[in-house]
Amino acid sequence: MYNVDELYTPATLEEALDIMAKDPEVQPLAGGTDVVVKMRAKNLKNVKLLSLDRIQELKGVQMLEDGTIAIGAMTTFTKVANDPIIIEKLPTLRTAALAMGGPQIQNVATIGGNVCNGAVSADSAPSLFALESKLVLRTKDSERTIDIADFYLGPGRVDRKPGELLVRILVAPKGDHFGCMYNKFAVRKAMDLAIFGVAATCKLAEDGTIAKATIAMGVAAPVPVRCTEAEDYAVGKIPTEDVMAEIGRLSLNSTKPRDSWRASKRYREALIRTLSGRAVRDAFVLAGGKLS
Amino acid sequence: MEKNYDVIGKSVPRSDAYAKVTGQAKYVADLRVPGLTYGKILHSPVAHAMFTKIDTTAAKALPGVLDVITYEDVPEIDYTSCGHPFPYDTPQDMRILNRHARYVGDMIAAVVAETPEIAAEACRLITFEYDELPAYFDPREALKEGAYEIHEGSKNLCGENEYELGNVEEAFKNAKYIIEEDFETPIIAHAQIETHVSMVEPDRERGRWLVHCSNHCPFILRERLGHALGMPQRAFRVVKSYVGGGFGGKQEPVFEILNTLMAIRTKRPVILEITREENLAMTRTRHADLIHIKSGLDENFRFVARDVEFICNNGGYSSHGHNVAYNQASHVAYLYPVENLHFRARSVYTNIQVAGAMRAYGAPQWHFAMESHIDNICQKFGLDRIEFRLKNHARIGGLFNAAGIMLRSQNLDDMIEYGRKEIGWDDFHPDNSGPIKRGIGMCIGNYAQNVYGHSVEVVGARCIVHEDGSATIFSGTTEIGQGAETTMQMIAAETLGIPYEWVNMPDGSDTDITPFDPGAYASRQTNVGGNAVKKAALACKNQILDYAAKDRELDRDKIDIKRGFLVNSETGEEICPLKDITWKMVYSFPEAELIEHFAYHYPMANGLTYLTAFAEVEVDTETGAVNVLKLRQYLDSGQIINPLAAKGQLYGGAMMSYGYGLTEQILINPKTGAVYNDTLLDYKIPTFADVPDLHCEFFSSYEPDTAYGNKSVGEPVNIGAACAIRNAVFNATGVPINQNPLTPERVWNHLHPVEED
Amino acid sequence: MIEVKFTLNGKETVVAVEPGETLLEMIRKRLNLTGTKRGCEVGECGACTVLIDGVPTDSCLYMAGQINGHDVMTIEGVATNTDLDVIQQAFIDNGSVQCGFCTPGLILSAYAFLKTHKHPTDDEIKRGLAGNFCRCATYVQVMDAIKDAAVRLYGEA
Repeated sequence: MYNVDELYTPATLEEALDIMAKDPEVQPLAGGTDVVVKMRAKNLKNVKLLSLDRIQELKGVQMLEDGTIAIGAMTTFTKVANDPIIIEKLPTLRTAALAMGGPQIQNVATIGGNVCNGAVSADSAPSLFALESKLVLRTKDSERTIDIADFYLGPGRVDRKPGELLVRILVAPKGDHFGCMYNKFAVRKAMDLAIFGVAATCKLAEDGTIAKATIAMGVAAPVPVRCTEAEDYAVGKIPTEDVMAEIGRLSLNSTKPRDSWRASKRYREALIRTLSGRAVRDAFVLAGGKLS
Repeated sequence: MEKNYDVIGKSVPRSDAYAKVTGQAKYVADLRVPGLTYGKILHSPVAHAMFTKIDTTAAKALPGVLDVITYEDVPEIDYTSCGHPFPYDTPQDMRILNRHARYVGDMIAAVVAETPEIAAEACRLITFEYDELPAYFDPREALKEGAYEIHEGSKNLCGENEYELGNVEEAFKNAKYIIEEDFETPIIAHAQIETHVSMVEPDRERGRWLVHCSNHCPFILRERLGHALGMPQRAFRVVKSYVGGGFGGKQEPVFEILNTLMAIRTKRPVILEITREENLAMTRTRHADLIHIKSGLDENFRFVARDVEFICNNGGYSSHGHNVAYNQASHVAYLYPVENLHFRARSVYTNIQVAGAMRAYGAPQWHFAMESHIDNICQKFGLDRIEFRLKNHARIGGLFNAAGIMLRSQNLDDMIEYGRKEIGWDDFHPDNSGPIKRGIGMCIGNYAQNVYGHSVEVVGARCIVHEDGSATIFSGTTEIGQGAETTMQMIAAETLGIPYEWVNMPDGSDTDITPFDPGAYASRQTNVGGNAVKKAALACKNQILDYAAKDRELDRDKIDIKRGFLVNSETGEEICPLKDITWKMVYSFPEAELIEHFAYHYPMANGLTYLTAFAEVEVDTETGAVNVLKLRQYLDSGQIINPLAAKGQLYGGAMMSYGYGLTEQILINPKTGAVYNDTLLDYKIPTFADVPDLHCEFFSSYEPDTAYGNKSVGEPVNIGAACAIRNAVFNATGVPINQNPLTPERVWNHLHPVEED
Repeated sequence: MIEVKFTLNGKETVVAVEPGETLLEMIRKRLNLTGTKRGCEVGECGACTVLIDGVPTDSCLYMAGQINGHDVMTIEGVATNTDLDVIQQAFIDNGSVQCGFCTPGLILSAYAFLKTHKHPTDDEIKRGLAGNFCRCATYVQVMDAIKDAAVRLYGEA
């Protein structure tokens, strides 16, 4: 039994935002896989929970008229993984969703909750960074749209303002000859934390080289990071062994891996070097690129 | 030896399967009694300290708190929680609550309250002061001259034993090759999905205490309760219903004694349910060992001399500590016998979680070291890894006096040959030019049947044949999930000559009702308990046959009972239903007979179960990730009584060993001594997704002096996979890793030593 | 207290719960259905798995006050009247039960899995049940049971 004073269960976003406006101390509750764990670990008292479970308008994946893909913040990882739009257009998010915990966690954990929790190991973050996603946040009276990279402030800290709820994640259309992938590196094949995670996207030029690459990493710095130096270098290249090695070397410049009991800095650096190059190569191949 | 059995060797669903698949099986935490209260423990936050002050005022004042107990309130009696072997020489070195805290998690106070939340809150309200003492987490530090004594007068040695066979010094002088290496194994956790739990009810009418436990050894628990509480043993009735995983971690009273004290003081029923974090960081573990092996070989690469030294990290208290080293002392002698052998083991007190019994009791550590050592030797001298083992392993006829073991059955070479073909040993030529390299490896191993030779080994059984020819047995044999109760029913059915379905056995153990048994450990239940059941059943059967011969004027030597019929033992012809005899025995006037016998058994022999495991892996040399492509484990466990249940043990043991080989280790903060990974997210037991292409089989042999030729299963199955996987990684990479688990980072570190950077 | 109305093992159920009560606590303590097990309280072991609207969910992470209007199945609701469900019988027949503590969660996960996987591969089973730890590691026998149940339910592939 947790020390909870209130459990609000609004049916609409309007109601939820009203509650948030009246009482900014309210803790939004999405799938519970972070919030409930935190209540227990920190022995939180007099918690007020705002369950978003009933709010249908926050759930589901849609393609907007301009081809932008809009993912409701309360879409569970299972729904993300099995959504036809995601499978066709953004398979890296399917991979990320299925890499998260196990089925029971994927069945309730939501993509919005994962983002708002701000964990460096969040499985959705590298892909959402690599896809250059935008977040739509609303209060009772306002709405703003920001780059996901601006949302993460530090480990477990995000730029969610008082009274604000993350309502939707937007991914702009990527067009043809585009590939994206996510590689979670963990000790076990399920129910595990990423020691390191990397997502990459590749857009091919007409000559079969890379027109644009994005590389984003989790657990490589206090917040998920983009490896812009390596991304710039990749343009015009085909990811051969040498190019992959250079991508690995340059990616390291964007990261700040640290020593922890889960993995040493030296080892994390090796993973960054090796897996970033492989990620670009795999995204390149998924985009239809030919390695030779 | 092929035997024609009616029941033995046929697969039978476990007798408790229905209760378990429907959720009806009541584990301790499922019991509901009126007025139940909740216990909670306050653990030491520091690794080594003498507590100087403890203030419970605020905790006691909290509404709903029934009792606060501290180290000041417990009996001044030293005890050891070690359940088996009976603690003859194990240091009695702990109190129920300890002023002198010896690890992060040591129990210093406890609360009983009306709700679990109040109990937890009250624990937080207890304030204390302490003087911190020097703390050691590495046994080598604790052994240093002048190190602070964690237990006064111990020199930080929980136990030491040493022996020599032959003349080791001389043998090394004459050896053609000498190889000397060091190995290191991790601390691992049992991580039972059911955390430790007990519930104690007062029996006011009789002034006794009913202790519901999830424990392997209800009788030893009763004995320990009497000792530690300074009360007569008769005050306690211990009942074990279902155990949600043991693996050695519930082989001793970790929390039951404190729980009983809570109930005694409050006179209320109290449940003490341990959290996952406590389960992983504050119960018992498998010892981390430092193992030094020096081997002398002759020109034919046969072992001629062996010098082995173990330093076992025992943690803050004795528990099973040094007994595990005793078991290792036997193991070093009997897989690859050698005439000149020196063994020394020191079990060292340190300021970490207590090491105790865990599945295969020291054997996984030794096998990891020795099987790695052999592959290292083979690599060094270009020898075939299988041939080397075939040349050196012990064969039938071997006698190992130190452990009381006689090698009278073995089907190892057939298993090795089978595995060699199955894994494609002779045709394995991978293309290892890229960063991902493939390799294969194997190992062999063995394990005993009981603890004959050095500890208490007696089990009782009672058999009743009812007037309708069905039977009920009472056996001390402790069911902890391994399927022992079903096995006992099968042995009774086979012995009596009746169908399995005719034999009933009450679920669980109850020290007021069940015949004595020291508990589920040493893979001894089928060996020792099985013999006791067989004796009791045989006595019943003989009584029936005597009666039948007399009553029907038949030749006593030519009748038997089979499938529930009295039969002609020569022709197999059915004479009459068994019921016709038994009914008459019971319902005759005036001279009736009841068919009920008690028997007990203690073994006077010990034998060896053999195993072999094979693995094929691929290693990503750039990340250190090991992917197990194939895993095979074969077991010569004599006659398998119930293949269905034994299979679960064989496969499950292989997966637990997979975890030991690749993923599992308790990690300790080197500054504070606290466990870093006290969650199932960070303490990495294998998940369903980790199961590789895994296949296991039994190879039979016949072990004498057993109920039906059976040998041990539960523990030997937990030895092989880790060694085979390690050796496969070595084969793939050419880099020997003498430390498990082979986590990606450890593998990568070995492949990319620091000098390279 | 919050009053919630939901379907539990096919029966309309109305119960008042505390705002801080998890579904696991409600099921075990308030409703006394003890087949749902507590293994970690943080969604890492799967022992407390129940089906909410047919979807396997860790009941330890789900606040009971949210259950209004949902359909909940616990292990006690898997067998119909006196008959075991196919998956329960398959667990018995394939030796898929050892200590049994994880068994209710595994059976519920398998039950839901079989609704969407009529001819499952080994790999699909391993991924589909990865949220249920079994320390006895009876995984291969559970896999056998699921394949066996699939054949009993839907015939050979």
